[in-house]
Amino acid sequence: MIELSHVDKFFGSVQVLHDISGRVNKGEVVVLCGPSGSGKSTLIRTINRLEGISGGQIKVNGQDIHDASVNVDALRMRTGFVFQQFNLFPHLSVIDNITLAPRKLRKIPRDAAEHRAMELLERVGLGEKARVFPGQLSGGQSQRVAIARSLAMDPEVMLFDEPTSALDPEMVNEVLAVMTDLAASDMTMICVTHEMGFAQRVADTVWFLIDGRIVYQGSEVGFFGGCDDPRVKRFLNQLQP
Amino acid sequence: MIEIIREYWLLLLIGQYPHGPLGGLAGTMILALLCLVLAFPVSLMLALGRLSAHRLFRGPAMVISYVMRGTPFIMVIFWSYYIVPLIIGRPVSAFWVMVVALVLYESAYLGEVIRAGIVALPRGQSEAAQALGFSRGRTMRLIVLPQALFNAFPAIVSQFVSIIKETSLGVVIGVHEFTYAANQVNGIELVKPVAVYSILAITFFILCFSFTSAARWLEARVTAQRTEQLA
Repeated sequence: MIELSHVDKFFGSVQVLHDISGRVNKGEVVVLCGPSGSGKSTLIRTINRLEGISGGQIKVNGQDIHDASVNVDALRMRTGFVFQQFNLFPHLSVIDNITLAPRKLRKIPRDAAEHRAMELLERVGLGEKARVFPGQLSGGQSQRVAIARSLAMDPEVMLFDEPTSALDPEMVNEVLAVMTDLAASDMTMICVTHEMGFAQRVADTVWFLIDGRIVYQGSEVGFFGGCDDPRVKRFLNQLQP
Repeated sequence: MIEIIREYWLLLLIGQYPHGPLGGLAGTMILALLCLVLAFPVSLMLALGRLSAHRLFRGPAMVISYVMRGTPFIMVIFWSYYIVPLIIGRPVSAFWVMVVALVLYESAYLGEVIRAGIVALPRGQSEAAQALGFSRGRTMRLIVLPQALFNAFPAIVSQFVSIIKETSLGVVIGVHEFTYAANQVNGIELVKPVAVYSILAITFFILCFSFTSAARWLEARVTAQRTEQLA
């Protein structure tokens, strides 16, 4: 479904991604991890073209998405993206945050869009918050609304860029629960995360990056089970108490 | 002061109308209102122009912005007084010259206020909108501007107040407005300048103060709406 081949990315003269290749199948959950500054966020942002690439190719459903002829807005409508900082629109109520894109971009009538938004809010456990403004929500609630907002566009794939890193510890689990539920519904997901417990429970595949290079790419079991690479071992040791 | 008001209230209120153009306080309010209404879209265009990726928009917006902010307003008025008739090719009333000068001059400042509001918004806001599939234009219209204009609201209001006050400089090219009427009264009375110009100052203060109060009330209402749970 998503295929990266030999992706390079430079910021000025600094190369932040080196020859990244890999594929993500439909329904697969990929966890992207690695020490900070390893290029995980940059990599995930290239998949909906929030970042451009300097070399190589990224294909989604066979389409080279970094080709100039690609309608980037249509690509993004099919690709959900969840940010570390939630980025809810503070001037809109929760329900308007969720229905704005379906109404304006998919031309869905307001009542149908709101009906669907309510379903999604129930699903993330926030049915009673529909008329609240984002300023009244906790971090965990905000991130769950942000996930519902992305899901409202019925994306084919969901990209998560450190969705729990900005949260207080007690709120991490409520967001991970929503993501676990999403994975169980066969959503194709790529998640940049430091939550190794989540990775172990939910991921099919782990991509481990250091300094913009893929160091490990394979099954979750292989990563946590018996990966001999000393860099992987050091990373896991640092995270686990 | 009271007797001056009693004697000249009609002249101060509407100028020599209907025997001459509408002036006085009414003239000031019409001039100010017209300039407010015109300066807002012009400044929005200047702000968007300065932020545009296209040189074609960025260049002219930048020139207007820098020239206007680097010139005394009185120069802009005189300059408009002579150049606007040349551009249009026929005589233009002092009133319309003043509208052009004031809108151009104030839009340069207002445009910078709006631009600051846009730039100050966290980048995540437009990224989130674009990640949902909104084009740059719609991101600006639906997500960025509603927030930027609200955040910049106090500064926008103070710029609006500037517009109201600066209508009085129209007196140098003979625009029939409140200051012009006050000058006429002073010309008739000759020995009561302090009283006459105090009336002028107090009236302007009341006008501007009511405007800022109304704006503050509006701002508080919107803030309350966004922070209180709606049933």
